[in-house]
Amino acid sequence: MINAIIIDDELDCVKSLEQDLIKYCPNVKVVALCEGAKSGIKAINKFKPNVIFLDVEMPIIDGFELLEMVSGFDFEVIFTTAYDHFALRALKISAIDYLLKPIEPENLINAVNKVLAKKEQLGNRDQIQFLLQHLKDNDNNKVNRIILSTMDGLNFVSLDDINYCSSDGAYSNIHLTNGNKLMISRSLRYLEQILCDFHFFRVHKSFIVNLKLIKKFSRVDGGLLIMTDGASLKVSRNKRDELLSLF
Amino acid sequence: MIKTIISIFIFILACCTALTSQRFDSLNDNYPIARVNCIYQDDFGFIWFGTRDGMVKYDGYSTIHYRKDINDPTSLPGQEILSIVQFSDSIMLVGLAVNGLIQFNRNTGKCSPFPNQNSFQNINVKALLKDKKNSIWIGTNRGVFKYYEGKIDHYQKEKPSLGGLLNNEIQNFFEDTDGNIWIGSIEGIHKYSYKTDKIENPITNTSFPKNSILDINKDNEGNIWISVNNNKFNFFQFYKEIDQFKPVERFQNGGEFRFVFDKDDNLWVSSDRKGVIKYTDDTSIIFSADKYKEHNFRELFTKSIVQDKYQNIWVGASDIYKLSGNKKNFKQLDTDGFQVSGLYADEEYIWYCAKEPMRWSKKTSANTPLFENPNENNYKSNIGNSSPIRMYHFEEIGDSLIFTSIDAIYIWDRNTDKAIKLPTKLEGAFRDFIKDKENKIIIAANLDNVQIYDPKANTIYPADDLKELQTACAVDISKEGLQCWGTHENGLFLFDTNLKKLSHYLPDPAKPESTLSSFNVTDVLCHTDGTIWIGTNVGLDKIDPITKQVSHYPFGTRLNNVFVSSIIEDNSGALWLGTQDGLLFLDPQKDILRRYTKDDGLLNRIYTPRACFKDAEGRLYFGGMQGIDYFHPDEIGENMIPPDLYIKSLKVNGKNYSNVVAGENIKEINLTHTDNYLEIELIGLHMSSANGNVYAYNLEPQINEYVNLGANRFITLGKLTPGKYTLNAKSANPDLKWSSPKDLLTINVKPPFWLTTWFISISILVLIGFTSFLYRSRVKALRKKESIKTEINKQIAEIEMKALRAQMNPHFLFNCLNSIKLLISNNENEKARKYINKFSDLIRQVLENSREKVIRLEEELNSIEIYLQLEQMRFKNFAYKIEIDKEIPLDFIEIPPLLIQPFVENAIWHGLMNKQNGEKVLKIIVSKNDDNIIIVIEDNGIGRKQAQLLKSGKMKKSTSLGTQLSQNRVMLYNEVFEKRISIHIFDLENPTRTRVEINIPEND
Repeated sequence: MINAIIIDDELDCVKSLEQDLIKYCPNVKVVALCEGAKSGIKAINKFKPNVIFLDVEMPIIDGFELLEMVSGFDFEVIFTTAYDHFALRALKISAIDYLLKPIEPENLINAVNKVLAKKEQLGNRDQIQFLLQHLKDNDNNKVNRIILSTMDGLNFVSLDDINYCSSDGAYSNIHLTNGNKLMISRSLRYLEQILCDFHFFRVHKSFIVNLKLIKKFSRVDGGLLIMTDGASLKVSRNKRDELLSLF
Repeated sequence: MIKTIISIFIFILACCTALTSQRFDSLNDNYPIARVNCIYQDDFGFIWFGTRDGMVKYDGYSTIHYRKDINDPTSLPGQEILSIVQFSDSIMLVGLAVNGLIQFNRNTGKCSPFPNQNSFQNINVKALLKDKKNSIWIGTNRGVFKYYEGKIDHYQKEKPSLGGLLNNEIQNFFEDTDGNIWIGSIEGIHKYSYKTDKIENPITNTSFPKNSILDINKDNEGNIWISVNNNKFNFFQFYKEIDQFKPVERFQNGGEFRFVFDKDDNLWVSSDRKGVIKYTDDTSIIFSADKYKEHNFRELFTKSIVQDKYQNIWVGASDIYKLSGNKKNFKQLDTDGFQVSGLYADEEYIWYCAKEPMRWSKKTSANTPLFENPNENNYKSNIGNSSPIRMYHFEEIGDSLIFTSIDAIYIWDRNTDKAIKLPTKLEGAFRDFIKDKENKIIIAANLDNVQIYDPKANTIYPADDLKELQTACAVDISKEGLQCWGTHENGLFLFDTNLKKLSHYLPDPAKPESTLSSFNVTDVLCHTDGTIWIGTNVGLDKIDPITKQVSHYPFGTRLNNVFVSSIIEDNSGALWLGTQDGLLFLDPQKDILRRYTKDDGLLNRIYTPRACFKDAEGRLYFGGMQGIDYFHPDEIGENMIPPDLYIKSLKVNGKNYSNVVAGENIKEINLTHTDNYLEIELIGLHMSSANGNVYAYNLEPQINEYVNLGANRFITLGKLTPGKYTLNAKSANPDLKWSSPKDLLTINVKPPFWLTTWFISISILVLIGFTSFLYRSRVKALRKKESIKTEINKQIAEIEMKALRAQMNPHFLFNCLNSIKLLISNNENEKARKYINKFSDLIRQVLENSREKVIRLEEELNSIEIYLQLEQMRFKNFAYKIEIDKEIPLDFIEIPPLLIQPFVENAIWHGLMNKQNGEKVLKIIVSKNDDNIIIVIEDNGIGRKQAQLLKSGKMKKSTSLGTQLSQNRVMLYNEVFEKRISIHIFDLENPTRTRVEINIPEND
């Protein structure tokens, strides 16, 4: 049994989630329902929950700010959000799961199970620290690392260390400049959404490349990228002009 | 007896005149020219002759004759030309008898009146002068005219206000160094001064006769002389201090005299009775028909004498005679055709043999030999008819000469004229001899062995060591005592007296380069530097002192096959060679070879073998067929005046360039690129020796080094590329005094039109224009494209809004909400919750996607599935099926958002919903065909036609908005992203179906 606090600025959302938790997640005991960030902070300090369901978008103090204010917390966080592009991206960079409102019961169960499974690991905390740091910088150019969740756990990966990414069916491989390879159980599309805000480009259905590490472009076979480490990657004809326009 | 003596004396007098050679060249030998009235050298250097039959221009090589031609009004108006002067570069003024003054254009060869039609009608123009102020003085039988800047002043006896003339018959003009003009008339002399602008007091002192002034000239010191037709004195000199003329008493009277002073200040006088007389300080020489053979001058009556700037003296008579200014200080002893066979010279005499018997001439202090009669009797009695061949004097045998003759050897006392014949019984001539280091005389006996004469013992004996040596004719001994013997038929022998070793040199046809050039050795010379020089009948050989190798001296093509008669070394170490074609000077050190001929003043052409001698002062003597030429090598006296160089003629592509006759006035020519063959004939004016001038040229910027033409005067230039060229040339006189290089001709070769500046400029302009046009239209096109793009973007935004609105079709939204409400009312909470989740998913997707211009096919398909789920929830009565080829990278293929959705919506609402009976199925198939992704949306509804009918009846048209929008959006999308997405709608029958195919080209 884990203690949970639900924080949201809309009472209906709080209640709706409470009902769902009671209905689908019997392992979770909701210890406090907080309408807004202020009462949330109070409740956290008072109840020392194992997990909080935290709405990202709240007036005055949003979810991320709340986390900053409760320094040294030792609970898990499950973010809930209705729709916010910026917040979702920040979460993705940090490889943090979140629940979209209205919340699908299946997703809720999965999330809770994850928290239960990770209870001992406390891996989530690093991700949140990372997330907060990222938000504090508030500047895309300063982002130089992302977190990738692989089979082995979380990986902090420097963007400059990524040579290129390739798709491997439902999985994706991240090829690092040191020759190592990370495999994540996500599609290349997922990586594309994260990386392509930085100096990365999806040149082919199977490849995302680090633009900084391109050595040369060859027109052989309709377009080949030669990376500085010698790897040669095919370029989709559709993407060729767009790729060349980036230089 | 006395008769004999007298006859011999006369003979000797007649045949042995000794003098400095002054032979004239006669121009008429080559060019027929009428009696000459005047000779004029123009500013360029050309010589003009005014004759009784027209006018002649001469350049040293050829003449051009201008005559009166009654058929040509531009020809000379009269025959008799009295005076000529140069007016400008192209205009000569010509004074005629009776026909006055005309101007003659030397470029065209045409005449016209000067200065206007009527000025000088029916008068004689006898004298013309252009003074330093460029005034033209015109002397006529009607007084003096001065032409200056188009104005004419007329001076005559009848106008004393201008000074007055003694007589209107003017003979001549002369400008002195102060710029005064001296005017000679038939009644005396006048002087014009620019200061007073008057013809000043005619000089009329008592001793000065009022006679016809024949000539006015100056000597080398600038003193003015005149010659006067007078019975008492013919020459007067003007003394500036007393402003008077005084007669020069030395010169005889009688006749008309004209005169000139040569460079040595000798006075040359042409007379109308005695030919030409040359006065030196104390002698005079007469050149006349009497001594035609000697001087090549055959006139008694001469009219004019002129010296040109090249030091040639010209005499006009019935012929034109030239005394070359190139004559050297060669002195001659003329033997009147008798060959000189041997000679010797001491301080006082030249001793020589011309024919027979022995003769000697005394040299004067001025080195002018003077014949003197020796004691003929003594000579005859002692020597008989022996002709000396070689003569030497050796101190050991007193004041005597040793000489060899064709049959004996004599020792002859110069004071007593007594000769002692040495006792020999040998046959043949003794061609050469020399004293060896033991003071014995070794003698080349032509038909016997070498003989040795011992003066002490007074005996002659054969040289035992040289028994092999026959037919010797020349001998010399080197400082080291090496004897060098030349033979007539047997090559060369060298005898080393220390080793008693005799070596023999012969020609070898197998090795022509390194053996003697001939068996016939004519003279030998042991040079002070150790080289042995060998003269043969075909050239000059030498033996190197160290290698002892024989080689031939390269005479060059011009002097090949020269018969060398004699070799002598002068005090500077250079060689002088008497040959059978002139005299050669050879400096082996500096590799200078010069040839002197009769043109240079030599008496002989053919020199006698071994008849040469160097006296104690270094003077050289060469005996030949005509006498003796002698000179000091340091005092040859070369003509230091370089030629003046001009173009004589110019041919372009074989045709004369324009009509210009006077090449000297051609400075610049313009050629086209087709004028690619140019012949330029040069002319070096020097006159002294026609073929002696040499030439060199360069052509900047093509040929920068000077090209030596030798005596050739023609330059041929082929295929000049377009551009500007400068032809520079220089010329040297026969003594190789070069003129400074002269910028002779500027040649402009015009480029063909396609290489002209204007053509190239225009081409460049056109090119620039064309490029900028292209650039502009490209920019314009780009801008247009850009503006179209902007426009399209606007449209897209608009359509996007419309699409969104169509998607979020209020009908659909409210129906959805209504459905949810219904579920809740029916207490189907679970269902309602699912419905709401789907509904929010869809709206989120739509919102998300509508933000992007392009989304991935995967996302579109996700939205559609949600949409279908929602619709299915509402209607329940249709089935849908989505089939996707797993090979297709859905997450990579890009499409405009909401591309497929409207067709799906249509299929449901218009196809399936209106179908009353039967199974309602909607199929979405995503497949791959070659490079295309094909998305098929197929329903088995009522078909479009049916739907259309229903619509027109029952429903509003707005329902088809979605598909129409989709079509438009695809069009715009293709435009902006340069894609080729196409949509086709098929109406299928049996069973009735509607099929939409969206074709997305996929290239990877």
